[in-house]
Amino acid sequence: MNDPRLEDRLAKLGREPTDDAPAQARKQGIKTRLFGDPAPPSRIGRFLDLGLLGRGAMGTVRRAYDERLAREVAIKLVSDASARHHHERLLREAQALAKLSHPNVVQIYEAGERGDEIFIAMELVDGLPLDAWQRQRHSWRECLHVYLQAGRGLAAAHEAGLVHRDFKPSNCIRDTRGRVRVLDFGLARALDLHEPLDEPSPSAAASTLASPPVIDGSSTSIGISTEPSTRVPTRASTRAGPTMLEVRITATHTVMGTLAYMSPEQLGGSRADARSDQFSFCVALYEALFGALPFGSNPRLALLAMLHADRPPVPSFPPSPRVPAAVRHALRRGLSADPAARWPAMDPLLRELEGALRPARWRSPLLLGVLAASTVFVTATMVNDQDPCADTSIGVEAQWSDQRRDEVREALLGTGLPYAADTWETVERELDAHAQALERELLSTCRAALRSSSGSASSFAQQLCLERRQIGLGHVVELLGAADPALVEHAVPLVTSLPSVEACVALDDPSPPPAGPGQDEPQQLVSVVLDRARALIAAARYDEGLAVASQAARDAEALGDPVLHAEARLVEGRALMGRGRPEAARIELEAASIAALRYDSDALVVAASAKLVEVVGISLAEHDQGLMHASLAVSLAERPSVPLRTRAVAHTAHGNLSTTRGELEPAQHHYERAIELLREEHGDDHVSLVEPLDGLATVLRQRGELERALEHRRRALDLLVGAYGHQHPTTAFTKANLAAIHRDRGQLQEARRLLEEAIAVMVRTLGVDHPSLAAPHSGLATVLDEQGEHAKAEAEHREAIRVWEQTLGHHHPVVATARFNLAASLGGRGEVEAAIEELELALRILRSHPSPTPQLALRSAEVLRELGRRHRQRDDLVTAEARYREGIAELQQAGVEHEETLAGLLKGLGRIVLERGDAPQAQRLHERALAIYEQAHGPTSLQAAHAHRHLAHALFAQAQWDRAREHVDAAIEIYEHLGNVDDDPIADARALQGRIASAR
Amino acid sequence: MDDAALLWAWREGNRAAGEELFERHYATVERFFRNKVAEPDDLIQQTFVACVEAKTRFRGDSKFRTFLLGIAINVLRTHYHRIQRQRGMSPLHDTSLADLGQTPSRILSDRDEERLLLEALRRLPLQLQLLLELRYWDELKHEELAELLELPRSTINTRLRRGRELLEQQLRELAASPQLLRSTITRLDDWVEQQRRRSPLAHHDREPSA
Repeated sequence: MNDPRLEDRLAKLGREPTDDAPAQARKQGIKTRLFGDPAPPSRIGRFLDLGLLGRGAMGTVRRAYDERLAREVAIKLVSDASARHHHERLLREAQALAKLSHPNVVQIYEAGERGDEIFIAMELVDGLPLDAWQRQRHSWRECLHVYLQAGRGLAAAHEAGLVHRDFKPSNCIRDTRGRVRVLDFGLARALDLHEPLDEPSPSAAASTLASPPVIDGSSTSIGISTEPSTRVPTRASTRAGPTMLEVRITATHTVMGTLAYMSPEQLGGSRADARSDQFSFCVALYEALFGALPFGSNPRLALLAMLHADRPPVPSFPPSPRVPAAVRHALRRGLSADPAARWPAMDPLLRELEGALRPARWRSPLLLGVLAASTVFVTATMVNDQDPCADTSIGVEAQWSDQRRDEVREALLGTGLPYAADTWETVERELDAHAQALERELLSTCRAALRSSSGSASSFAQQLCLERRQIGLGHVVELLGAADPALVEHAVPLVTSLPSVEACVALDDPSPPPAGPGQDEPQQLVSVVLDRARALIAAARYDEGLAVASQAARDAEALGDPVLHAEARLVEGRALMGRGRPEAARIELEAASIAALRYDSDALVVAASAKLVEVVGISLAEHDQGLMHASLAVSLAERPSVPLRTRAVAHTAHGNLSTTRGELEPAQHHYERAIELLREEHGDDHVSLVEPLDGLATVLRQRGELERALEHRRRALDLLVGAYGHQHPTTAFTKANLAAIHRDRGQLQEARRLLEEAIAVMVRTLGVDHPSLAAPHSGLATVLDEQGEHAKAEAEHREAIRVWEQTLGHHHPVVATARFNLAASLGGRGEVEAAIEELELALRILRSHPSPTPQLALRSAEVLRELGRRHRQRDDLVTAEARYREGIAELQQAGVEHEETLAGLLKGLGRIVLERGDAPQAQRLHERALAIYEQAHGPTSLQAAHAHRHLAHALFAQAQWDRAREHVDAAIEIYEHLGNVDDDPIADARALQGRIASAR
Repeated sequence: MDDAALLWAWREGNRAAGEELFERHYATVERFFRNKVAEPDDLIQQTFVACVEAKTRFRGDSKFRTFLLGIAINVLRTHYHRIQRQRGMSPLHDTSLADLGQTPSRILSDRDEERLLLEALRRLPLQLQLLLELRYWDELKHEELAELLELPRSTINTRLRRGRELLEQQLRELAASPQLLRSTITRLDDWVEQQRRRSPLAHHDREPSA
């Protein structure tokens, strides 16, 4: 059956490109190894030439390296012949530009000469020119955000006395983080572009324009090319007629590109000034907003009309997209024919545009009420003359009053849960501490605000933050007061999720103080809503949390605040993950991460990425994607704006993923770092240390460092007990994990005690059927078996199987393993029939697996070996032999040759075959087994000794005395060398020695 | 210059010709090894080296690319035989990559569909995997496929069909249980650890909220 779709997909797969950095590096590496090193690089000035970036009409742009400052730069090489005449001017312009340093202007570093060429070294920007960017549709807000930046660059240059003269979208670059920079200031003038000729020159100016140095190589080469004119121009007046310029302009398509943004006075031959730049800016912004030029696709006529006509043309604005009136007004004025009619400078124009971005009135009554209440009390304090700050604690007391305290206690203890009392203790302690800190800081902020009379920006921000904390406290208390058992289980995470008061105090708001207290009130309200969503999630109320966060996201979007919107999506993602919907969570978290990257919100990127590690890397098992998120989180985590807590989360997430991937070294490193950070932030006793401590214990255990693993897990358990008490399922789980380490160290009694406690708590709190119980039951069973208490062990085995079957189904490989263990237990008690039954079941399960792998084959072989042993115990040699052969065949089919299991099977089969009387076959089998054991365990191992012994028996049966003696002697030698060996094998060997001796 | 001429020139010692040939065909060779071995670098290099050695005869009558892929297949076989001897496994053409434990150096695409397709390919017997890839990625003709894989020309169609069938079967299985893409848990002790890691303790789940 031909599925054309399949064929298409196959073909498409083959076309996947490999041009990312690691692939390129690999290719380069191989090429170098095949052909030797490439030629040494050339230089431009003091810079190392790294290759071509793009070709502009003015010359080429190359990528280069500045060794002195260890950075990459872009170098524009102006090599046009007639540029030579303008060397001086070009260099002077470059000097002037180099002095200008502004985030929205591409920084010029140096200018110089290389032979005939002039080079200009500038900032290398990785991004898109705006003409490419605005070819895709963007919202008017985004356009404004982008052009405001370009406008600020222009304004800064004007301030420094520079005029661009050739502003257009292709002369602006937007980098991958959203920052916009303007390029090529004044160069147009330096090369005498658009300028009237004020001195005669034999040839017309070479006037090819530069293209911006963009990495993606799509340099837009727009230019005005001229033929060298043989006309000798007349002495120009300040207002040379258009005819002269018209001659100098060739009517190519490329001309239109430049002309599109040109101001009428420039076209008319006047010297350009700041207001000409303004005109060009407005044309570009108009085009970005509406997708078309303001004066039509051929503006030459319109521009000329603007120069000469009585009623100059005005731009019309299409009804859609719906751009605010303020923006249209600003543009209309900026596009006036008469420069004097335009905005006096860029700044007033930009202010007008910024005004359009301010949010609309907030309409939600409920939240307004909440904030109004707190605003009211702030006002009230100002009225109190004696001590204006005396009443700051009122709000906090209202949230955590004695009455509320009682309510919460009643609610928690009233559930009757075994851990309710412990939980209440922790809740009370945490809330008390939180409330106290809040009161203290509100007081101190109030005092500081009074001292600096105008009210500094940072104290205002702090006050807002503290008020938010206060409201947040109220949320949590409210939730606790209405607690049901489900909430009590998560009450401790709920109270520890309260954001810290200290973080408010550390707030250092760099932006200028808002015009009034209500300026960003809507954003504050949305933040309050988000706090509530976070609290709900901490309390495991995921559906509610999701609903609240979604509303917040919509509100943030309406407000046009992308960072707040991203924060809300992060919260949505966490809620979705809590609800067990990793795919949906992924979408929100990735969106949040991307937006955060765009708007430089490092802490948010780290938080989103860390969560994505869990969602994508662990839950969805896409390890490589997860690693990408982990690496991003961890590398950005070191930035100063990221709080310590968040950094720790990033490292912990990376640790979890590395452990899942079996990369123990990095896992250990990350957990240790997380612990370090959390210790710094919270001290040694904070419950947040539990996760990384526990993770570290897992890693150490896998690396065999049991002592240290024990230490860390014990510490984690102590912290949990401190926060949750002994009766909480979370504590129980960690106890079970701790038991595992004790068992590894052979401390069986301790392991048993812990497991019994853990199981008891889990049964009481989660119910007997909870899936988490299976593994502890199984663990306890193995411990009991090792202690020889097989009856009790059987009960535990059966319970584990029951729970696993219930949750995973009857055919999961884990169930097979559990039954295998049960069989061992039964066999140990002499219940051979029952053991065989379990083994048969296990075998059926393994064989029913849809895709057989060598691992499963190995398991089946183990089961078959055990079956052989058991049947032999029952003296059913025929079945035993059959099972052994089956096991051997199974392994051979899977292509396994050197496994110990195989050796065991061979040995078992050999013994049976010998009893049947087929000594030669037995000999062959034992020889193979011996070979495997020698390789796996060494020639002087116990297993090798046993194999020698059995082989000796087989040889003896064939009357090969000498060889038999060789092997039995070898066996005895090893037994004696090892010491500590059971009596039976030694006795058997000696007896055989005796028989050999007497036979000869 | 055509490929044959470049090859002669390279064999004569002309480095630039070798570089040109490398640039032209690197992508094909890289793509061949990319989803078959964890570390393709050495094998890619060996393939090009084998090209230039006098031992490998290129008569210039078939396409250079086919010749190159033939070398790549041999390099791959030698590589796997080495692994076989280390692990003691059964004949190559019946084994699939999933069994050999060779994981590709990076996931080519992060979309589930393509990932599934790649994984499904790796689970086919190697010969069928090669057949499908060479047909659909390198667009070799049936004659070329027959020559490279040492199969009778008349059986190519049937085998391609078989390969597609098996591929669809694998896709169905993989789509049904994504956990199959990763190994199943076999150590009971680790079960507890795994569970813990899947549902991290809630109170540690913090984020910035100033």
